Amino acid sequence: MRRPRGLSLALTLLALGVIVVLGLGLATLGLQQLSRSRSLYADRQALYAAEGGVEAALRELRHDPSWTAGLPAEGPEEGSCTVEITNNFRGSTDLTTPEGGAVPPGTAWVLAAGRSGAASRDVGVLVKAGHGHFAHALGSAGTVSVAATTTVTGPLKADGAITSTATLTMLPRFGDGRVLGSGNLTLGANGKIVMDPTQAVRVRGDLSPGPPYTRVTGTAEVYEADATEATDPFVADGRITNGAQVLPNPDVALLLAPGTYVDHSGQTAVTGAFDLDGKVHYFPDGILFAASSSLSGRGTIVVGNGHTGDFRCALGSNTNRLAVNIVALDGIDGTTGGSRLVFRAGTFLAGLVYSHEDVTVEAAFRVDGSLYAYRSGAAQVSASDLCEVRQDDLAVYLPGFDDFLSPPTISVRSWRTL
Amino acid sequence: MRAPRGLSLAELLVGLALFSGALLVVMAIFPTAFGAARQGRELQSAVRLAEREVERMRGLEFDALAGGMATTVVPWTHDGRAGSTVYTVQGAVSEPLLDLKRVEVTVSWTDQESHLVRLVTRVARE
Repeated sequence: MRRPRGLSLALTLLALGVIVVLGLGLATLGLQQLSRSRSLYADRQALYAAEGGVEAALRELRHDPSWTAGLPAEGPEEGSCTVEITNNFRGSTDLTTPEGGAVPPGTAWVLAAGRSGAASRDVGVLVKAGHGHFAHALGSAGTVSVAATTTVTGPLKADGAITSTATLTMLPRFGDGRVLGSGNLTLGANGKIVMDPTQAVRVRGDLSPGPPYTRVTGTAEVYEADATEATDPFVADGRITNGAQVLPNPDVALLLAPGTYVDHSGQTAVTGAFDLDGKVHYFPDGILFAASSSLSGRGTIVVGNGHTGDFRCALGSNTNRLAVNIVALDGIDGTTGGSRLVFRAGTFLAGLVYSHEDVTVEAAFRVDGSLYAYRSGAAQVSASDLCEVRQDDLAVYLPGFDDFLSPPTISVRSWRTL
Repeated sequence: MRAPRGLSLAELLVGLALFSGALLVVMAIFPTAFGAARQGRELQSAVRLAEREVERMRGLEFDALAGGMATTVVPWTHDGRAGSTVYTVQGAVSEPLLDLKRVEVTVSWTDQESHLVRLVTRVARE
């Protein structure tokens, strides 16, 4: 048999082949790992740039809730970001994002696109606006009279007498749940005040019955003849914006800016269904909502100077508060008015109830927002039925009151990495 | 006549020469491969460290986020493998706009040469 020739060459080539494959395989794995790490680095740079863009947008919205400009690309070195915003904080109907999504009223959609090299990451955030809150849960430039079980969450302040013939429970809100009176505080036969231990009752006049103040429970801090700033009367004239002693007074030019409201001149009664439709509705001649009527939607009702808003129909329910602000005006024509609000059926609102003169409550009543009676010396808030007022952010944007509202609370409802 | 058994010296020498030459070429690939793998692992670890620091800083109260955060040196073992690299993690904070802070985290390390990764984000006051 002949010896096979070239065997050593074949063996050498085989061994070489194995080594080359091994070497190239290792090289590929190493380069792949490096490539993956570089991709991860670029991806994280893009992601943090996008998240930083969202933060920048939130900051803009907190400073200016009407902000719609968006942000141009920034930071080319470590990842750039552009921000688009669809702002519907103050809208009444859904807006549509450039991508086709719906943005409900009271919210804004922020889309931040981060880029770094070939990597891109988008972050989308739905933001809700709180519209801010007033300084008091209940404020009156005149008197406050309580004739039924009442809970006030947040500070209560009155220039005139505060009287109660039922149990008034005070709870703190935003750290404050005081009773502050520039006049007298009188607790009738069944009248008592239940306080939070951290809160105080301060009246500039007399508190009756007097010491040891057994009708005021829960707190040891009860002050008669109090001369501190807390019991200074409200500043009720003009649109003074410094300090918490100022009663809100709307800028009517903004509240009823031309073209922004629905004018119901000549209409004095509503007997059927009424859809607020996210708008400001102005009833210059007063309005009576008959027992047969019903309100739906969200918006603002403005009652004209010197007239009455008479609500005989149920408004909302205990489980579904009607998002509405009700404002009875003064001074639209430079005169002093005397507009009133009367609630004669179950009323459950999220918003502001504001009258230039009286607010009268004759049925179950709950407001998450604030309740104010403005007119110095003449106004009174009287509740003869179950009443709850809780200081809270307004549910519906109310133009013309910006100077008296806390900065709007901007809260993130959802945060999605797209 | 009997056929000669085994390899001739000439065959052996040619084979060895070919094998050695090719092996030298292939061996040159290995340091590159291992170097790339190590560099990849180090980069990945550095990015993770930077992420961890950014998240820690974002978790601070807005007012507690101050400029020139302390440098920390972290010996870091890659994926539980033997050996470790020492990373220097450094955070820096500036406030280019009121109520908006720029948070920058750099992680640096040295092997045959110096490396650095940098992550930048922004944080707004709530």
